[in-house]
Amino acid sequence: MSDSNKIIDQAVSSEYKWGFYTDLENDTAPPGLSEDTIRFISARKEEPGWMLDWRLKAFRAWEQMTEPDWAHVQYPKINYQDIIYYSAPRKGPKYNSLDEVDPEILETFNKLGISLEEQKVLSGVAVDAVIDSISVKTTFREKLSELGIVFCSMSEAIKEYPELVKKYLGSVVPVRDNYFAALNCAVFSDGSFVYIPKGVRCPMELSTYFRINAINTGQFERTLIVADEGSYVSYLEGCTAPMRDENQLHAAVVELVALRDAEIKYSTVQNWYPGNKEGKGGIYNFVTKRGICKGDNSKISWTQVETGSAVTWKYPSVILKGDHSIGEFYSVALTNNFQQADTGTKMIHLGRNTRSTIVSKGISAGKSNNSYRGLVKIGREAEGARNFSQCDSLLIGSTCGAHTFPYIECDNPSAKVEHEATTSKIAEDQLFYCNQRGINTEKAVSLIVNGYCKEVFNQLPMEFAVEAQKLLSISLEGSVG
Amino acid sequence: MLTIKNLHASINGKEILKGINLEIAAGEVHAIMGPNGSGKSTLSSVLAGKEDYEITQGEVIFRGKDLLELSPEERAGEGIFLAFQYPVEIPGVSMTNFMRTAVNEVREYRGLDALDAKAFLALSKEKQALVELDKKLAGRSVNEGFSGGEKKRNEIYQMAMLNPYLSILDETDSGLDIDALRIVSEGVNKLKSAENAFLVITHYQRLLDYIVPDFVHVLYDGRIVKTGPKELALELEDKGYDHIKKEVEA
Amino acid sequence: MLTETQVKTAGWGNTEVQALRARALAFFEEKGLPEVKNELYKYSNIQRLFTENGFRETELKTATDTLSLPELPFATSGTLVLYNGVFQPALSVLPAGVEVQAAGTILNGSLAAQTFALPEPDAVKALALATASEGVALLIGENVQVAKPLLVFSYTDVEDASSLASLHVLTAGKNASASVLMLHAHAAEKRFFAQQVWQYFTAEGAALRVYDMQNEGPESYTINHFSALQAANSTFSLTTSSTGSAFMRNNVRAEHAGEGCHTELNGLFMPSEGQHIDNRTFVGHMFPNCTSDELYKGIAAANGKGVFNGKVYVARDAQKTNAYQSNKNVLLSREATINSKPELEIYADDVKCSHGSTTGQLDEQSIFYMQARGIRQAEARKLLLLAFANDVFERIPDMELRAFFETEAGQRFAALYRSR
Repeated sequence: MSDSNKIIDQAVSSEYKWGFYTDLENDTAPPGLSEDTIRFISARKEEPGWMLDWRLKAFRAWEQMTEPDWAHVQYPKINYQDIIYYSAPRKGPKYNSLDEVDPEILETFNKLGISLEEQKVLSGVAVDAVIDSISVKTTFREKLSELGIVFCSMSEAIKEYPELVKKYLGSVVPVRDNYFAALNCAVFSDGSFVYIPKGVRCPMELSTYFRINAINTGQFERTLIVADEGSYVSYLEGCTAPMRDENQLHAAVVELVALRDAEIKYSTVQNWYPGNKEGKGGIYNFVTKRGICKGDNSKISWTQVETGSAVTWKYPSVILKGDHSIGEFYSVALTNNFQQADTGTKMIHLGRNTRSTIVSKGISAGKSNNSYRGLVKIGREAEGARNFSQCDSLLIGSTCGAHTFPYIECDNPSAKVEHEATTSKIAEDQLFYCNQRGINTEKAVSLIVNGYCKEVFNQLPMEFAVEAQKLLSISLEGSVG
Repeated sequence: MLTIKNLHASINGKEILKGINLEIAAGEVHAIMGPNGSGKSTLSSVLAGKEDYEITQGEVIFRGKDLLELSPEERAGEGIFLAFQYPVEIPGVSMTNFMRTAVNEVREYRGLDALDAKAFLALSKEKQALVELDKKLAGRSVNEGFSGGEKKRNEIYQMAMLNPYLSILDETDSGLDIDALRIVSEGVNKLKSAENAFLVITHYQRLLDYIVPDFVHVLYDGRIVKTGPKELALELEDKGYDHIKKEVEA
Repeated sequence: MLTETQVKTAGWGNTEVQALRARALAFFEEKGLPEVKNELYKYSNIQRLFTENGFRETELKTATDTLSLPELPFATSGTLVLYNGVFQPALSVLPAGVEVQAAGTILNGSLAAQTFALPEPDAVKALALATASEGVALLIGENVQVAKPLLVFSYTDVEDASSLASLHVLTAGKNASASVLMLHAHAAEKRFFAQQVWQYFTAEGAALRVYDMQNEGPESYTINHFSALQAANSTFSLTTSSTGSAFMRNNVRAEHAGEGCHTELNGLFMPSEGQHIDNRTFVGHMFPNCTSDELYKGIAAANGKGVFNGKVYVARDAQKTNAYQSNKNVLLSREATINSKPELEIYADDVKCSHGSTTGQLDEQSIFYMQARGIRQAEARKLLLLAFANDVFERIPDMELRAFFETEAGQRFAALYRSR
């Protein structure tokens, strides 16, 4: 509780708090996209031939595809030839200790309040920190490797665990899945790879922090997490980005594979630069996140708190293939000023007695538009499948929009699918009650909205929940007239 | 402490308060009684600053300041506390978080340093004991899932935490059983001092057995039609409001 | 498939209308029949419907003198007969205060623009507008109260695989109140593709209730376009009971043109063997202080496919809107499908809007309970289905009409379990 108050007290400036830019010497590819760009990326990363072939195949597929336009978002046309597809910090070699890490990078993390040292010492969280495109530092590797857990950058995994990568990369999100995913397959820079062996419970939260840093560099993260039979892992992804005027494209792909009796919990706090109050600048966040509950009794749970980005296009999904498998999606999406979010989930029930839960809390303020878009599909063979969806929208002010677009497709009579959605504003009597206790309206709104999102925050690991509440309060500033 | 002069207030164009005059000094307990629809709850809402009401005439001076110029939270800072007839539920916001925010906001208004977590919890514990409020309620969302009695005790606990000069109890006795009524009243009595005052709004005389008023006012059709000592409440109980109505209309 | 001759020969002396029809035709020719990736027809494959059935333009008979009208168990206020979409004056009787004209005579200016508008890029509606023959304009006078329902009986009598369309207008004058019951029938063993466009205008304070019993045979492939434009303080309600037709699509649109409007949309849809029933609704809250309430219940049996796609739209200025939408479905067989897409699109903050959608099966425990009380299983299921459907029928204020719809549904349920 004490944290929440501190958070609210700290919420003083509505300007993007983490907008600074670290000057790293970059090794960058020239702007533009062609087979040569892909060869350049692959060569820089010293990838094996099969990886290059895979990328080229994806590129050729992408060239045949068209950018989707069904989402409730509008943005200027992206010129894919203006984007720089590769940028890596020049100081390439790996470090054995934090002392060897570029002090500027460490400073960056300090400003973010997530210094590696602090993380390492205080919370026991292993951090795979990513600045731009290359994994700079991985901690706790040794401790994890004792358990047989692999937690490394995707580049390393391609070299050191080619069989695992070949088996699972693109197995959940196929190359041709969608326009942005195909682009990612072709040009992905780096990301995290996690493998949890049979029966192992990962003893700590694994986390990566992403930053978009170099000018005009598209960020194309690629993450793959495989939880073998009976294993468990909780993965945290957090992002902040420096202030930029030009729009930056981000098209990440995250794939999760849960085998029999395995569980993956994936939490995101996303606070990329949303653009300024006039709607100028900001990140385009076009992300494909999907997990497959491949084995019986497996479970995948997505939790996201989205407060950043100018445009968000993101549907973390679960394919429930194994019998008795469970999919969960907990989301808070807050948009302010000119932000646009079209986000939700897909729960594809294929196995028997599969279960899914969707809890979505959308908050719109300013001139923003916030849409929930979700698919619940019950396959013909999904005997006894259950879904419950609750999608609530809160409007703050009368210049924003809140929309709900659920798709429910049911092909099995024994399934039970329930969807509920409400749209409202903050109740006047709640505000008055807070006011009467001496709490001003802006703080009251922050309190009430945080309360409204509690069901989702409860799903987050403690330190992440605190961060999330902080983000919400900051993002709401200036929204109450 | 509080001076109300010729206060008129209306809602949606309908006049509810038609010229209230009232003077409350520090250390006093005033009771306002009246039949349903006489304007009792409107008076408490207007004093707390609820925006639904339009003040068409009159003035309210509280500790030297023009109360009607202040926002609800500023009034709270000045020391006005309203114990709601129907305390509001705020889902997901824990009682502790809510109260700590309120206490520190009010302290800031009064130029006091914020309480740290330890000091807050110590204070909270002490005040909870005052109204026998279950500790576990602190972790629950504001008023959510509270029984009727718990809600009212929670209001008195908040009153104790915010240390107001003037506390307005809006039908705090409604929906309370005899035990809860005793606990709530004892809490209030313990908070009474020479520096603060209470305005007890009630329909029934019952509460006034426990919180003994210095003055009893009868509110009828938007005006105070009769003022007397505590015995007036007994008389009302005895003869009913119809008697007063006849008296007034006569 | 359909040619310009059909456009030209469909009546319509009104040149303003002709221009609007030409525009609709151009729109259709540009867009073509929607693909399934078109969000408006995501769950209804219109292209396949045409290729599989080879619907074509045919010479239509426009008059009959031997039509037998349906016998109803209750009194009506009058009867309006449409034969292949063409008004049959000799067979029609109208109540006092209600008159009939050719649709084109009243479709001028904004009425014409509204009727031929394409607020959504719906090429199917464009096709209907472009090819529709000139239907009736039913005019209910100011303050006219039509106590009993007015029967509109449509009979389709065409060559096999014919395509036809007609457009009709109904205006309810200021403070008028009326209800319309639509019934349909067709010649045996002749497949047809029929589109009916109904444009409703409710003037200030008017109350119009429309009931459509859609129980035609498997030869029917039908798309209805029901659109209402409501002036201030008017009420529009539409109830559809869809149990027949091989293919049925209801495009329902109600839009408010003033404050204080109320819209009520109710639907029961029951696709069974070989049937596809799709409901698409749009309620446009454009003004403050309006309410809408929508209830659609689907029962999918055999390999039937049912669709509900409803959108509630609340414009920026439509404060104090109260909109409610509910879709509940049951699947009775392993081969049945239900797709539900309830949508809210909201731009005003002081509103109360909600929607809910559930899909499941009949409660097995209730069935067992009834069996334990000696009720046969088939009977128990029928009772539960009737209870399920009754939520829709309970919204029909006219008790005779309610009973009429209940009886019809009951027969369908009984048939369902007999055929098993």
